Amino acid sequence: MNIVDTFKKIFFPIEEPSHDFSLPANDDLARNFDTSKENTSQSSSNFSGGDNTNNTNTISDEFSDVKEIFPSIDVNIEYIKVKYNLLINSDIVLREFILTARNKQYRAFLLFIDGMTDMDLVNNYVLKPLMLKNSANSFDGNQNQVVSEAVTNNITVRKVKKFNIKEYILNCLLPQNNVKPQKEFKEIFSSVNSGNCALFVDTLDIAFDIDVKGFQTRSINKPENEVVLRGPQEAFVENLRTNTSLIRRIINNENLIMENIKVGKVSKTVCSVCYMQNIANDDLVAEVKYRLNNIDIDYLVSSGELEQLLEDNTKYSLPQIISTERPDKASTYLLEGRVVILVNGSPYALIVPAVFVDFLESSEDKNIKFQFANLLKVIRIASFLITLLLPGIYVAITSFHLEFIPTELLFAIVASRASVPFSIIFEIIIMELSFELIREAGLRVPSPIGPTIGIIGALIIGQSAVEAGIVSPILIIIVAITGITSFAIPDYYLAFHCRIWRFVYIIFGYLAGLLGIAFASFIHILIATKVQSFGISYLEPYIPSKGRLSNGLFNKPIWKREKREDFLDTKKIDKQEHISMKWKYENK
Amino acid sequence: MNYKVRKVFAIFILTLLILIASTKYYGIRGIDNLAYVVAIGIDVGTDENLLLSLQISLPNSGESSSSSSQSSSVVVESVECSSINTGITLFNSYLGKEINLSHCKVLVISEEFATQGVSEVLYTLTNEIQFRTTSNIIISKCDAKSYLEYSAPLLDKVSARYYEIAPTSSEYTGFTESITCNEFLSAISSNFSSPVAILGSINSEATQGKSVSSSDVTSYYTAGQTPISPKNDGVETMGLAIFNKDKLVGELNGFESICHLIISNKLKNAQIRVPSPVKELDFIDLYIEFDDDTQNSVYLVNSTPYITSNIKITAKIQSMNNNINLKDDELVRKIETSAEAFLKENIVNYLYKTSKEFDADIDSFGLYASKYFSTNDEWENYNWIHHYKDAYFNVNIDVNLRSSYLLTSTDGGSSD
Amino acid sequence: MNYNKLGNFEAICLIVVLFINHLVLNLPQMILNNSKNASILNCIYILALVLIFVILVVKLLKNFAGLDIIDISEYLGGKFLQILIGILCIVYLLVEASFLTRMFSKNLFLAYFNDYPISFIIFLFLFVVVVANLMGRKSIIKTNTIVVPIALFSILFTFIFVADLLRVERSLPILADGASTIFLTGASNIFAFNGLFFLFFVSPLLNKKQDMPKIAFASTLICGIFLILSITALVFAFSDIYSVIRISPLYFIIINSKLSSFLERPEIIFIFIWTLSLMSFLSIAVMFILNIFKKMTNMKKVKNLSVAVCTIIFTISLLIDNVFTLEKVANAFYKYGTLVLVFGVFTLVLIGANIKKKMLQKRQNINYKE
Repeated sequence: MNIVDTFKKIFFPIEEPSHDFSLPANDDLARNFDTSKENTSQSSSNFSGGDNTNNTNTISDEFSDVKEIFPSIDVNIEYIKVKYNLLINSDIVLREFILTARNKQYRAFLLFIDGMTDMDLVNNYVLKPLMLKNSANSFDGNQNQVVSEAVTNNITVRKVKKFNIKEYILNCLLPQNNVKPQKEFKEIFSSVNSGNCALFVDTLDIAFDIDVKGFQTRSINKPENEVVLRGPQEAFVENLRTNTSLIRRIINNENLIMENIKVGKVSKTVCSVCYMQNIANDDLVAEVKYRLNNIDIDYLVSSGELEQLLEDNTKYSLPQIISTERPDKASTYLLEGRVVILVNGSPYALIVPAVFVDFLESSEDKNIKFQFANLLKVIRIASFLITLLLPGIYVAITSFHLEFIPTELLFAIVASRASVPFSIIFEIIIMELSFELIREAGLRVPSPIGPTIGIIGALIIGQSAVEAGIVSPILIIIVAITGITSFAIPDYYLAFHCRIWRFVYIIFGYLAGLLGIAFASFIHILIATKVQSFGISYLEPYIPSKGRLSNGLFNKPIWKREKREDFLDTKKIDKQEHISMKWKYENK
Repeated sequence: MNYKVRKVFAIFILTLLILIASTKYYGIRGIDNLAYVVAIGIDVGTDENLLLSLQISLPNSGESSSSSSQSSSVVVESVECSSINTGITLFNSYLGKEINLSHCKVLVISEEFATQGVSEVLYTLTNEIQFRTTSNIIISKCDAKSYLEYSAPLLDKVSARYYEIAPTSSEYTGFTESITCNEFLSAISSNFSSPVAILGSINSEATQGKSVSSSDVTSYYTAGQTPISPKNDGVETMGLAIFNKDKLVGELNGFESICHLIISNKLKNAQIRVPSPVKELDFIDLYIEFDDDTQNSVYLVNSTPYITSNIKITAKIQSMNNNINLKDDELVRKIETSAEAFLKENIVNYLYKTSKEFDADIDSFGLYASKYFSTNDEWENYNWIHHYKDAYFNVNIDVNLRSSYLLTSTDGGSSD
Repeated sequence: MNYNKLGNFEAICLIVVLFINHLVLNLPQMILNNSKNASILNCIYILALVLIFVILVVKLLKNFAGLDIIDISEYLGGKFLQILIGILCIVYLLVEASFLTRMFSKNLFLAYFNDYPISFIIFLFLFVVVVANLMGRKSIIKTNTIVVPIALFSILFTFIFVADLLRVERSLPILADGASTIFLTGASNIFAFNGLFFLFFVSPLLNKKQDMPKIAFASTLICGIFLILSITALVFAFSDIYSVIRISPLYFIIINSKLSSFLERPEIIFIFIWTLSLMSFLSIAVMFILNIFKKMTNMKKVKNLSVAVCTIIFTISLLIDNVFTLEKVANAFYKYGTLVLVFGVFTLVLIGANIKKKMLQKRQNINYKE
């Protein structure tokens, strides 16, 4: 955008048709995905002939349209070999063997990924019963299975079922709790990719999806980033099932629904939408599912990415979704009527919708007495404001409003600045930037030398700079206070937001003193009122006000938290009886 | 959407650039480039209208001393000028730093200047945004310049803090009152009351003990007379300066200002010395506080004001001697009566002094009288200050001796 | 949940914000000049008058629930009257916004920005207003809901600041310059309640239309109470408040307060809050101007016109160079503009529309009977 255009756009702000030069749809995957439906019938008929040469290069394109499993085991093997690139892919195992069922032998093979499956399970509970002769598979069932029997006039009429190898294998030969017959390759591949093994049997146009997952996962650890003193010491891990089980163990109610939605066309990351069926607002749940189903991306790795994809307003840096590593926090919010989204492979749960006051709440607040929690909240609000405003106000006051400072403090500031060669604005921007630098460096360095950065930073900035007369000691205090308070904000994203806006306030404070701060804060408030989280105003429950305040920023005594948040519009409004401590009043 | 974001962003950046560019152009009052005035002194000039003195603080650069001392020395400079603003401009060109009045704590006006009228100076300063109208106003018996020069605080390093704290000493002595420019101005333009200001002076051996009445009562001193033996001559605030409209007409000594505080309901606490009822020429020290607010009322009898004050005071005995038994009801009553008589005499004297001698209603009795008039015109036609001269005062005083401190009796409780 | 409509509290804040801006600038001085030490009496009197007026307006508006004064004037006199009233309203808002900005900037200018040109400060104000209007109506109104209570608190604080100085005797002699100045000429002081201007526009925005009377009375009472409070503080605490005229009496209270020992001069905090409330009002004014414009011209997208409107405000506010003339003109416009438009024209239009409606109904009834 050159300068002429800029001016044009400023002074003739009539909406022109915008030119979004997005690339033409050259995305192979996307096209294939679209066209696959039309070509399915045609291509599957092609391959049912089964007389194809095994040229990997030429076939691979044609195979890509295949949907259903072929009855011929050879074709299946070829297809899988091509699909999984077995010649070069080292960890895919395709084990061919002879399956014995009712003393008949069938060709069969197992497909699984080495490292993702539990070898004991595969050996002992899949291969053993299928391959070795035993009472189950060597039983020669000449008697057919009797489905029903009716006796009329001494004539017994038996309705019998013909021997069915599919059901026989499923019902008699696989001592596994989770076996699903699947018809499509797509399903088989996605379960093999997630650690299951697939059993293909000759002449069958289905495959058995056997759950033998057994990959290495991190065990449940203590939460590292949301530490509490009183409260459970469990954190989410990367494995989705473990995470869901962590939540289920806390909630312990059949109304907890966990729906799986796959996001990402390539990675097919499983996301679990959890909500309380009898509490959460249906529209909210539908909205969450709608958004998750309509994310058109190739891959999704972490919940942080998903968070950005789900936000209402991406322009503004205010956090709009809570993320937590604590199952207890997620469960509390679930029971409040919110929706929790778990992403496979990410140890953070997303909680929607979120309003501003949620980001000032730590997970400990519900565990401790309300007086303590409210004191902490006051401190957090103060630290939020200080982080945001202190450097800006310092610049504003020292540049414009000298009369505001107590006389002795003013003289102290003037005295401390006597040998400093820079103007205050320059000084403070340099110091804030170097503080950010120290923070970033301390985060990125390998942990053994992490503390060194802190020492160097403290030494250089705190001591030497002052002694050299480059910065004034008062400024060091200001920057240090800002730094400390920014750590007291419980939510990482909110702290980030403050760190960015701090610079806005510094610039405006420099421009027009506290008047400039007023301008900046007015814009800041405007933004905060503009932001919504899943359609819920960001400053709820205060703005827009509805008179009845269920839970605000401050915690009520625990016996008084009778209602769920008003803005969630839950199906159950009360979360406890009017008198919850019945023991106190019932017998009197 | 994208287009809109870009547009807003472009506007924002452009505006920011323009703003930053323009601020550079207009410049900012840098905190380092200012000279901070702590006190202003005003005298009558020899050639020009007035002699403006400024006490300017010099913040120490704190070099090498790691103790981060905020100590600051001060300089006093003065200039002959026709008005305050020209004086400040002259200072600006002379000092090379811009004068900043926003931390000025006191305004010192010499007695000589005050008799000529102070309203112009005060209104000019009030018009000035930097000047705080909450600064104290001191009328100096010596010239203001030397008052500023001698006002090195004894116990404080920063003279600004000294100025801040010194007037509050009246809260526990009652010898003067902390009066701000704003209160003073408000009284000047009011029809109900006359202004008062703090009275200050240099306390040197030359001024000490002059013209003190023969009584033993220490609080009969006015400013500069307290017989203290400082190493160097220092300044002292004691008593009040009384104005009629904006002209100085007289002064009150320390004890009279206690009376003033009692009548006008501003006394926090004070220490007085009343004649002992038991022994001739002996005195008892009392610590007094309000028991209840003073109730003033004004009646107009044939358009002559008849002013009644009902005063209720609690007292505690401070001085003790041999053979005093405070459990003795009769003695207590005697002391109370003595204190009542003593206070009544002094207060009535003080009131007649203000009305007959100074013709200044510094206790705002006018406020109580104004209820007899329904419109402002009637009130102005009545001319309160003129009638205040003929006012008749009636003071009812009630002293309650509540307690002593740790001792209750020194004669062995013989009356038990 | 419908967030596009106003709740009751939002509506009250909308009406109160214009009043607050005048209260911190020139309103108390104007009332004090008129009725001197009997201002409190006068305020109570005009509050009573305005309450009667509000009863009338609410009754008249009842027949037109969901319509603002522009729609009503269209109903009464067709497109011509609509455009006439629309232009009047736009001019009123434009001039109000310009003068308020100018007077506020002038005060700030005198106080803190000696080196800055006044256009710079006004430009900053209008920059924020443009941003606000691009953000949309919802955020402006919500922001206003945050700002107004803070501003009201700040006015309450000014009262607390002088609480120890208050003396009832200062309001004596009770009738000041005579009963006629209080009750006859003093009646024109109802211009103080010019926030009621928005009352005529708020109706289509309301969530619950039946709450209109509640909103009208609540906002009038809030304005009245705060007016009486600040006038009380001024009259009871200072004896020279009507003889020495200051740029802003409430500001004067604060700079003379002895409270708070750490922050020696707390007035800048109040300037900060009042700046917020002025910006809030300016955003609302521009929003309503655009809204009226939209109704008059049937334009679809008026958001971007905010730049143009702000440019006009910028120009008008710098039109008068001399501060003393400005004050006279602004006060006169404030007083007579409000009296003529809000208490005159709007009321007439309402009465006319009601009569028309009744006539039509009567005719309908006759037709029906026949």
